[in-house]
Amino acid sequence: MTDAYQRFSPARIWTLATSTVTQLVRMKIVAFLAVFCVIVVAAAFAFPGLDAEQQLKQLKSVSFGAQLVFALIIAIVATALLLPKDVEDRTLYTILAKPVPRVDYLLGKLLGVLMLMGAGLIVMQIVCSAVLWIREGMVVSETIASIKERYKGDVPPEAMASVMTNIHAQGLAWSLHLGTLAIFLKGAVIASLALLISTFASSTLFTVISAFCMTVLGHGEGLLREYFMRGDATLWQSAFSIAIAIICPDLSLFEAVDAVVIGKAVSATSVLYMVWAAALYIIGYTAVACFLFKDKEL
Amino acid sequence: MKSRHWGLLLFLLVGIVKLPVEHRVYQHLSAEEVLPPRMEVGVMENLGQMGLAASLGGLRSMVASGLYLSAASAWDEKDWGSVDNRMGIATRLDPRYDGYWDNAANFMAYDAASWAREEPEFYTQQLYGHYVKRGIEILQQGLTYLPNSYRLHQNLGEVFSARPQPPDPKQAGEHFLLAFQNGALPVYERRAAYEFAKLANDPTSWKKGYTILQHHYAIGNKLPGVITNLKTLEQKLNIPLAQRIPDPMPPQSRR
Repeated sequence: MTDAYQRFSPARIWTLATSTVTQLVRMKIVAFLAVFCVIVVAAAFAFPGLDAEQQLKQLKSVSFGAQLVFALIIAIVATALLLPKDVEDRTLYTILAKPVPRVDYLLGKLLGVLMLMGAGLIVMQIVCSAVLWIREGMVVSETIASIKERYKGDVPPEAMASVMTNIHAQGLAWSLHLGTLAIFLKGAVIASLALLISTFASSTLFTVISAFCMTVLGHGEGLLREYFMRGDATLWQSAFSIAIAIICPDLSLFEAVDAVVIGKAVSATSVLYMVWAAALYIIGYTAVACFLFKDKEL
Repeated sequence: MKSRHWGLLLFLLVGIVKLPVEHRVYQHLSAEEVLPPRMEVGVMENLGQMGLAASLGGLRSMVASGLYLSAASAWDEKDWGSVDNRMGIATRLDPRYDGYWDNAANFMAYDAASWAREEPEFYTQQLYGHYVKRGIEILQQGLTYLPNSYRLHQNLGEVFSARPQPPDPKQAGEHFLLAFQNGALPVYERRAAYEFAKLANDPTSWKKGYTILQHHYAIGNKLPGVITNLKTLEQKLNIPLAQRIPDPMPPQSRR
């Protein structure tokens, strides 16, 4: 061990993170971005029979749905693949044979996954915003022309204002980007959970299935808790609900997309609350992962 | 104790510590209406596999959109039962979007009811009334989630004003007024007054309508509809001649 050795080194973590990004990019995981672009463009023009407001709403719903699927795939599958792939390639032994603490290795891997997921979501959001902006302009022109035709040129300003308000409520707004942030936070929590599972899992498949189950339970944690905590729940049902609540994160806390899609403003305090909850989960699960990985036989 | 035991202990500790944090964050985000309302178990039972999978997969908004499109295709086939069922799930999956409630109600109170009226082999007064009533129910359910939605009040006012047989001007007027108070255009305040003017015997509503129209008249909004209905209300309320508006009755009243 040299004097230069540091127990915790941000530079070392950064190096590991960037190499993880390279590793994941080589796995062609980001090919989903190209699929996303096709989905968004198709969604923008796929519903000509709907009214203008609904066309924009559908575009946003499909785009955010695709972003969520991308984030979940990266968070679960990519994270689950990392450790087994490093073992298979013998990269893990090369890294840990050097004075690299296992904590740094895990943090570097997690940071790499989060960087890739964040970059992917930013690209997707830029594409989504651009298509939405173009489509909004098109449907506004079409609607104005249609209203003018209906009123034969003499359009009451009130009628025009009413229609335009509903269309612009579904158009491009700054608050839309908070939907992407909420998806990123959810993905980050799931990635840290998947990393935790992969530190003790015996196979990649086990990690993927377990992380997926935890994700589903996490979305329904509140529902399960309410169901089992009703007055008529038995002792066993109550105990089961508490166990679920302790084991799973409440992923429904990051479901701000629905509010953002309908054009609702999200306050800075609400964003801070979501970031705070995500930070608690990520720090907690990563700390547990570090303990489990510390003595793991490789 | 080995590291993995410490890890397990820490995992349990994190699980316990997070509970009050989750509760507090949930309370705050729900109060700010950032999170969609949690579905009651009774509602979930009616959602079917698709709705349940959506709610557990974090894809509520996207599945609601899919159901809306599916309802629109059932609408093309005039399969009103499927339209109602699919829109019912879409509205419950995305209850804070008034567009779904609005469309679901229109599908029933206008499209299905008009279809029932225009199909001689199916037409019965009961069937027409059933679809109109269903449209009203949908809007009223929507207002339990979105009590301040001018769009839902506006539509409910429209439905009460024109669809039931006979129409219900009292309810129509109240909802037009609520629509205006929640951000709808001023025309809806006037329409509330027009509806109040239609009532047979309701001096309280007449006074409300009279005050609204007087205000519009005073600010120079002397539309034929304002003048006609103001004159009707002056007569109904027995306003002294000296206080009545001097304008003659317009030849044909318009909004």
